Amino acid sequence: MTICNVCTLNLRQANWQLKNDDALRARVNDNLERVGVPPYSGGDRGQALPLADRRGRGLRAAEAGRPQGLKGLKIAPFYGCQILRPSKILGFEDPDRPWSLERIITACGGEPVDYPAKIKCCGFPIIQAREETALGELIQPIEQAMEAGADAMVTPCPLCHLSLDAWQQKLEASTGRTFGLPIIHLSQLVGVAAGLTESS
Amino acid sequence: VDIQIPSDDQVTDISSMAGARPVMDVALKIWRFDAETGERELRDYQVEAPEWACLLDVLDIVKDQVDGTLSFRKSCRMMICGSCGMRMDGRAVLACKERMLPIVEAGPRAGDLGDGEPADRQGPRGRHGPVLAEDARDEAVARARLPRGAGGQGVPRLAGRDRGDPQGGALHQLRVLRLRVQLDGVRPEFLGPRARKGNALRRRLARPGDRRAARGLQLRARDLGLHRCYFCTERCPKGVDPRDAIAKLGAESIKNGIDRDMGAKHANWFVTSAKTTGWLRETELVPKTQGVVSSIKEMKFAMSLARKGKVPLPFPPHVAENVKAGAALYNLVKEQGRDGAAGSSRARRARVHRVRRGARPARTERANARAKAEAVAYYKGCLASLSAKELDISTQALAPKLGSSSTSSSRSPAAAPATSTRPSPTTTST
Repeated sequence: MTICNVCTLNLRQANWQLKNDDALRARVNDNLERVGVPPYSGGDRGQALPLADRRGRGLRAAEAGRPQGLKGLKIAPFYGCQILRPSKILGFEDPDRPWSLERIITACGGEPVDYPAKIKCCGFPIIQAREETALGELIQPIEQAMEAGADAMVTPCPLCHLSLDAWQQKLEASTGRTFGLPIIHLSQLVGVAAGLTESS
Repeated sequence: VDIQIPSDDQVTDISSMAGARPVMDVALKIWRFDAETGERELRDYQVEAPEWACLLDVLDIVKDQVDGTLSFRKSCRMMICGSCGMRMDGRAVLACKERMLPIVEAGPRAGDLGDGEPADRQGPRGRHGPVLAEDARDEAVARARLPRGAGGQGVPRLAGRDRGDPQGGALHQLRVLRLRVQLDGVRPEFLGPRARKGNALRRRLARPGDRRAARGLQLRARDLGLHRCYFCTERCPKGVDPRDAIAKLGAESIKNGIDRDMGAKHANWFVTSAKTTGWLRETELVPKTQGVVSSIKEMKFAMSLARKGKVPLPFPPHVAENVKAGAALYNLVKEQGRDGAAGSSRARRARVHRVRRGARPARTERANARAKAEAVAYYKGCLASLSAKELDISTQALAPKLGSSSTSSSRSPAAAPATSTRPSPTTTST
């Protein structure tokens, strides 16, 4: 199980290439052997946290274990690119109409907020090279989520979190506007619903 | 040249076959959009079509016989131009390529657009909106050249436009890039009569010391608004992978010694990090990429992040297990000449996958795979160990609440199996 979109995509992509290309797998395993590490056996498949439990046991546990829940808090889900696309590698969630985060938010007692930019790029990959372009990407989910009435935004990707959270102050400076939208990790959201305290 | 024209009695009158040809009943749900009111609706159509019909044929029948207001783009009708690319059941398809008979034989999926969610629960995004009506020229360029006017007015203006057309930008990026790829001949399959006239992506790979070439290559790619966000790869119904093409060009540039631009420095620091510690040396990433002067200018911002615990100390260095093996592997691959573009094979593999997609594993194999998935290795990656430690902490604190047991490990944090329903047979190291 991964807790990072980038890790998820890279692991699944590598796994998928190795499984589908015998020559590549043989060459890679030969190289691994030459540097003294075990060969790749093909048993792994990277699975992201929000998608790891497709049969719903985790969701049921979340529902059962939320003595406080989110009390109807309006949460904007932000998926990030690399958990959705390329869907041919990631595989099981419609990249245009994902639903996992909404289902988790609902299970935790919150109210999911829908907005178009929830599946778009957060701008982080280009944030160092062209910050103004990245901010142009960044403002879309933040602005749209707030207009849709979100109290907070949740994301399963630490890179998106960094962009949406840390760079939000730069966005405010750039636009002269105040957003102040709290950005939380998915595990934090479920943790709050499950009754974890801040110290935990 | 001797051309023989058959006599009339040898020519089959197609119209006489109309009553005898095998036909099928096709039911479609098509997103319709009213450009004047902005309203969208999913409209039902049912037509009779010949069994050989593709999606484009069926759409033609709908337009000719049922609803003349239906509009869609088409051109060559032979899987070359890509004009009829559209979304069907959550997939990017060429309407002229997609045969309808297997879909019809699979049976109706009432109230379903193919993703398991009823249409009325899919939210207001309207994925199949007015993408054909957008301005074909300015979206991607505007995205890359946001004005930095007082208060940054250009940014919200762009966001406002995007809200009206959430998918238009991405599709436009694909169209622009595909045009560039065709013009520049990045993929040999798309070499055309104007192959040597384009200049957006490089016609040739940069030579060592060719700074201008590298700069042109990377700036142009950015001007197209391509940020590795995967929309272009996802959208293309012909399996073109522009992201891979750009990555190959970047890798080949670095291999040829063109490594002074910010993108190359950024990529090289990842390589250095992997070789020296096995981890991303995150705190040093900004000065190594942007340079010392630029980093000093960002000091105020960095301090604000540091106060929130988002700037991990670089000392003592965080060294992963087996880092020497990782460095040896890098050197070995480089000796084999598989650095640069030769090391990238995403697009080729994607096509292989598409061909094999129809063959699903047997039921027992899938059941076995599910059973194996009970054992979960927890892989937290770099950021959750560095600037996003709160993510790792909260995940580990949450695990017992969700019925998973937390276990500690003597391995490096990158490989620590923290949650597991039974002893994990596999762990992964960076």
